[in-house]
Amino acid sequence: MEQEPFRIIDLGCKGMNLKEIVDFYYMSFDKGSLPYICCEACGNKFYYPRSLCPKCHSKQLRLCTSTGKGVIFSYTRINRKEGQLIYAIIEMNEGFRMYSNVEGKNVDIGNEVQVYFSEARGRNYPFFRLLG
Amino acid sequence: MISGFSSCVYKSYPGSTFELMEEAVSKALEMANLSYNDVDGLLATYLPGTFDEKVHLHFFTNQVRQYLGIKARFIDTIDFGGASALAMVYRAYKAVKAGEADTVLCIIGGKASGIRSKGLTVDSLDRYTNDVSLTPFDDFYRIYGDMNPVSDYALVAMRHAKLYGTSDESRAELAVKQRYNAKNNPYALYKNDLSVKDVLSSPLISEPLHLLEIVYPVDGFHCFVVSKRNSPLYKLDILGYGEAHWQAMPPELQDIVQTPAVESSREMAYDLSKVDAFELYDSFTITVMLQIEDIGLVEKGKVAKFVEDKDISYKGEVPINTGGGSLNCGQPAYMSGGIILHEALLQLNSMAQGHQVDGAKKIFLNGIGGWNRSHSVSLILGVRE
Ligand SMILES: [Zn+2]
Repeated sequence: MEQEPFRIIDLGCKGMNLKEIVDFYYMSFDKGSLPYICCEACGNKFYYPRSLCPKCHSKQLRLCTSTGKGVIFSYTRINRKEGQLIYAIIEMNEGFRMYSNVEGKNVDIGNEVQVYFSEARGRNYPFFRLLG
Repeated sequence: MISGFSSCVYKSYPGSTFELMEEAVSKALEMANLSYNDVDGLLATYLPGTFDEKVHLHFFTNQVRQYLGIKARFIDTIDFGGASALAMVYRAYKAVKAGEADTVLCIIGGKASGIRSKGLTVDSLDRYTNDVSLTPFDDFYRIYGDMNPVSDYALVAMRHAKLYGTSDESRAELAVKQRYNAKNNPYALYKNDLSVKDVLSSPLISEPLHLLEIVYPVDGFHCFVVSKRNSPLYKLDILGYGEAHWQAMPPELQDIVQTPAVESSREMAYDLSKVDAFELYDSFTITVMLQIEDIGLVEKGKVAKFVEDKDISYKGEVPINTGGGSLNCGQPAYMSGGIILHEALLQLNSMAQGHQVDGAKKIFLNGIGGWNRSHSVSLILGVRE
């Protein structure tokens, strides 16, 4: 079940500015929760922060918090000199998708994953590990 | 319509990018029997880092004209990466038809060797300098260590394999079949024998894509002269044209196994059985396979069987990438649109030495651009009957 939104902003006709959204994202990461945006007008759910809905262009947006659970939509094991990493698209249970890394040896499309947060470039960001 | 064309491609060109560009332009004008003074239009494109490693060229078309000495009354830039060359020729054609210019140079290329030597691609320059961004959302995904564009196409190949059972062997088979076409192409850089085993035993760069499924970035330019003047070449017509530009981040697409070629080719509504050969953008093996499905040669998910069954050689029933494509000719400045357009023009003018498709009168080209496959341009060129 979808959790209660972390914060509801009454946008009026002014909408929410991008900085407010991005601040909410980083604040969520620091608190250990995964944010996303839900369009109040068309129901579109998206992760990459914008001040309008890229589908219906409404500015009636709601900032939400994901349960942090999803499945691997696709993945690739990248071989670099510095080592191997798994780069993936995760489909969250709420329906939005995002790029991330997955920790684990035997991963496959459809595997269930859970978000965790870790530092990269001096900030907290969401990463995933296999569930169970 | 297309009065002259040229290809100047090197693994590493020692001189300046402007000099290499000049070589291509002079060669194309010479073929067209035209001089620099006849030129009154310019269409050009560049990707960051590919002009003498400069991230940005302020007033780019001015710089091109300052070097070449071109006065113009029609100028534009196109920013579709691999799909630019096809769109440039279409726009030049329209401009000439509308009387906005008499002779338009379409210039595409640059140098990849500088970026390549740093272990970067044009899509990872942001790891080298803060002066480049890829999307408005870089802070939220560039931390994950991707190897774009390779890793994004790898995600597509992996999902295509999961949904439709497309095997590593069938992608390798495509690379092998393209190599066959390259063997007799004087413009190909790679001509040695290639087997499925060779492809699959080459290093796994970003699973499931192997090194020999990935284009090699090189230095080079293509120039296409679109003019109303008579030329020694056959008169060509644009028989079909379509563009589609998708705006979503790949994770936001309904699925990632489609490209905008679905829409750009549908716009033309052209009977594919009347086409003599196909030149399909080949940044990776999977790119060609996606387009074979998306332009309607076979339905989605069935491309593996298509590649297995069909003879796609220049002598075959469905000739595809008749010169071996950019997988074998190299990818100048991280965009191969010039490679496929050049090959189509060789074919249509009966100039494809050693790999001529018999009676090639109509060719379907498809260009794909952007690390995230956001641009597709479909074009059918035909010899005027
Ligand atoms: Zn909406």
